[in-house]
Amino acid sequence: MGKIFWFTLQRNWLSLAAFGFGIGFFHWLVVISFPAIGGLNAVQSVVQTFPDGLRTLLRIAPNLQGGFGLVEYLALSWFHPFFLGFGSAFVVQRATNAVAADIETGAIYLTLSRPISRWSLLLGRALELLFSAGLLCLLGWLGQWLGAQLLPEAAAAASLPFTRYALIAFVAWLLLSALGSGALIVSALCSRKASADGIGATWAIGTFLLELVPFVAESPIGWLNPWHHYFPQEIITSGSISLASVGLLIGWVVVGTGVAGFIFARRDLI
Amino acid sequence: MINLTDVTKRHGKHEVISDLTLNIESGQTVGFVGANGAGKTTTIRLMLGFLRPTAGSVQLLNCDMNNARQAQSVRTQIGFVPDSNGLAPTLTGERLLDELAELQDAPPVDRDKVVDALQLAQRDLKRPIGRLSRGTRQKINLIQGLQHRPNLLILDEPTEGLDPFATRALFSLLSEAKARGTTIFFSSHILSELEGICDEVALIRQGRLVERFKLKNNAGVTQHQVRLRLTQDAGSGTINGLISQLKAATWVGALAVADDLLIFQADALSPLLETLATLPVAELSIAPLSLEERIMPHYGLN
Repeated sequence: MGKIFWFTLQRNWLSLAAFGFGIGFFHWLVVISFPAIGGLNAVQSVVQTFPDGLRTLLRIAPNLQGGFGLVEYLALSWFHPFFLGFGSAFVVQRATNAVAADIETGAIYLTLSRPISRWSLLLGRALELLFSAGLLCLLGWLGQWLGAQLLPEAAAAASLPFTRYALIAFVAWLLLSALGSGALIVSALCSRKASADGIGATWAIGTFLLELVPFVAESPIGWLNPWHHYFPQEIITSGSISLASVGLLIGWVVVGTGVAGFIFARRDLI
Repeated sequence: MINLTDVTKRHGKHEVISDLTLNIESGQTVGFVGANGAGKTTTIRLMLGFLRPTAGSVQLLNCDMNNARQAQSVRTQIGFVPDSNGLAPTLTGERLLDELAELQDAPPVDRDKVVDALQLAQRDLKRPIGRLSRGTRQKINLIQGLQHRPNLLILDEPTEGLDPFATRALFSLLSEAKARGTTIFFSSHILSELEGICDEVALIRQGRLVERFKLKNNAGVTQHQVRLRLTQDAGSGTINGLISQLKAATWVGALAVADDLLIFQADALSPLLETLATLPVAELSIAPLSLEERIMPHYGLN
């Protein structure tokens, strides 16, 4: 498993570096562009114009904060479509490369004609996915921190709660890992990368959209949705994370990887 | 070494392999022949545990390939050259070979020798595989299968894309491996390339093993196709006597009589010549029997 992890990471370092730089740059840009867009007043006036539906979509429900300041604005960058879109695409792509792409190209025959078990192969690839998703979130947080050091208002930068942003990054990592593990099941079932990509993307987008449907989101099934447990604004406000949410997301990673391994260990490689 | 017993493989309702039994002893080199889509690659994937048989059992080196642990342990001794191009295009050949050697848990003791034999330039090993020609990629594919000096070599269309020089070098390497006692299972649809290296040939057609035969008899003699006609003054008694004698002989096979022409296969030439010494022979031709001549009749082609 260790060798598979290491070789996969070595093969993928360039795309990981590109995505990591992009995510870090995005978070850096959100911070340093804050004065340029008009600062706090401009942000507050814009947010006040948001209809309830958009507030729900962006998860800035009015009862969660007394006001909407720089701290909340920066937390919103962790729910920005750029971060979520690229983050989800990254983990889905990593997951579909893990099995389906290798079956399609035939690379899997070279690997598995060695004394490597299918479980080792899958767990090594899953580990690389988790590591890469974690690195993306870490670089996002780092970009945010670096951006804050460049803010003209030094006092504002100093007051930013980077521990809380780190908690958000941690939950974002768990969310991306849960999405990746779900996509890993898809990958273990498919023999064509394009099919796996399509179904994997549907899984990531579909679960996000389901979370926006109130009667689904509020049902017990809605609680199982990984997106249901990703709430940056709440973490910023409370300064803590729900252990139940962390447990659910870790559960997704464990169960998703386990199911993917179970399927992969038993299927025909064709 | 290789034991497939009553193996059947279905994809949905389609039976790809039907009741296939194939036993190959240690040290043998067996050619696996069939038309495109006959089931050669499926059989190999069954052997290596990539596919699970619908029925029957698959054993390599006495290990059950449907048992994940046993299959994993036996793969330390296997070298596999797949037909598909699964070489990672972004990696250099050198890097890929290093990775695969590390996964094999066996040092690539023969890599330099195989690289030299196949005349693969060092600069090609340092280029990304995606930028290499098909033939060069196939050389890397061969190196990864041979570099750790396996006890069992499974080759699926190994000469695809190779130039004649590399093909010759490959056969020389395989001959060396064979001399060392390596068991070789060689799948191909190019019959001529099997004749020089294989002890036996197994023919698969529409998922069924239709024939298996030795290319040389136990004394190492190649089979011959004999066409014989006696002179017209030889009486019918002489001709019938000869036919009876040939039918009874163990070294004669596939005897056919067309008018007064006798066509048969002979495993040994000495008893044939002894038999013919006292007969009035008008016409005689003896030619080594090619693999093509043996196989084409199965496809209705002569």
